[in-house]
Amino acid sequence: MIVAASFTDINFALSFWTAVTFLILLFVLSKFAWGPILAMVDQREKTISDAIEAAKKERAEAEKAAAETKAALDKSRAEMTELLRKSQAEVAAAKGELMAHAKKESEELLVQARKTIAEEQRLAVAQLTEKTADLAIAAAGKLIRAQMDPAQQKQLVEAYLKTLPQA
Amino acid sequence: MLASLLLSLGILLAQAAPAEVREGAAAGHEAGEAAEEAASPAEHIFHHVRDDPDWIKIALPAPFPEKLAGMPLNLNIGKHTVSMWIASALLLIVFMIGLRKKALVPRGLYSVLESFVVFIRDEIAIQNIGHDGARYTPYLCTAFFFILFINLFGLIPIPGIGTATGNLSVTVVLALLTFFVTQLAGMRAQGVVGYWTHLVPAGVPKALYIIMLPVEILGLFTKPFALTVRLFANMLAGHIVIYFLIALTVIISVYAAPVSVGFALAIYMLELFVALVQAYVFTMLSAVFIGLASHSH
Repeated sequence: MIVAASFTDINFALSFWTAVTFLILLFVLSKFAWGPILAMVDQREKTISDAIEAAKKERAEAEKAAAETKAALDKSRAEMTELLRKSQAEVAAAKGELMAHAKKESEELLVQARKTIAEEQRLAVAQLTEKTADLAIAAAGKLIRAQMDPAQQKQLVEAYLKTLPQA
Repeated sequence: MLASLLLSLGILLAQAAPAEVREGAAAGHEAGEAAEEAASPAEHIFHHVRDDPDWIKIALPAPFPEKLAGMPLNLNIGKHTVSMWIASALLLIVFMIGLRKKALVPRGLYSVLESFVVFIRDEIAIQNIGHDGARYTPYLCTAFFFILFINLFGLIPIPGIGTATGNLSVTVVLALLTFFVTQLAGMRAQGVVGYWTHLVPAGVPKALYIIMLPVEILGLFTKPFALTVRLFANMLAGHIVIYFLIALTVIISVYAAPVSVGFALAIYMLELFVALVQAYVFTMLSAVFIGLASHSH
């Protein structure tokens, strides 16, 4: 079969051009296609793994920060409670002290007032006594002046003189 | 294998053609006499898939003989050469367009090209050759896209332009390149001495060396031979079957057209798939051979 035989013939020219074309393609495509494409793929893989790594790190940091914030919050809350408790105690103490002080002062005032009243009373009584004595003496004098004669007066003075201690 | 079956089926059917056609075909079988006969459908079909090697004649310079062992020695540019060059130009253009939009976040044509390249690197090269496999990615990628583009371009029905991978002269070069790469990979991985002394698997009894050594040496050459014939036969057979189904309109009756064109369309669809599969198979087997040579078994 000439037709079948012609398929198994090797044509040197075509083989030569195939080899040349293939080697040129191999060179050109390696330089401008396979190299850049594979470099891009590697770069993408690196970028993705870096991004994953960075995300993990960031999450860990965020978790740490959240924990720190929570600790700080707990601490400040505890401090606040403590402060509240302390101030309540202080207020109570101050109130007690104030009350005691006021009570003491009022008592002192009372004592003072009593003392003053007693003094005033004593003075008033003394004055009254004096005045009463004067009035009684004046009345007695008037009465006596009206009833006594000079002889009787003399007698009375003498009797009084006798009561005086002997100088 | 399927395509080879279809090839033989096509030839058988060609011989079972009606009497007057068979006469023409039979005349074509006998050397010389076919020339003046009116072209039979079979002759017509074979004319389509055969190379037309001497479109532009380029002679080799003086020291080379015009013929070597009956084979013409020149650099003539023919149908399949031009077809191969157009396909290669398309390959370069597609990659030029695709690579313009190269980006960290892949889109469009670039992402398609990139996924092929990554597949060849990860699933073909590294899978079959090992960690060192990435080194052979450029060769495997070039082989894959070269074959794929020639196969696909050959499926476009342009008058006078054929499928270069349906020509033994093309596939034999591709297989020889794989052969050379395989030998270099073997010697690179195991050392020159190591590679040739480990040709026969370790653990084989010395007595069996008489059988094993010739088998292994034969194996070196049957591998590229299988690559050559597989690609060539698949591409040739598919085209013959398509042409033959269309030729049924001449051989049987013009009323067979709906059936024959329908079948031709179906086979054409299959051929689109085969174009991809054969490019993949060639690349895959090249990687397997490189892997086998790189590891002492």
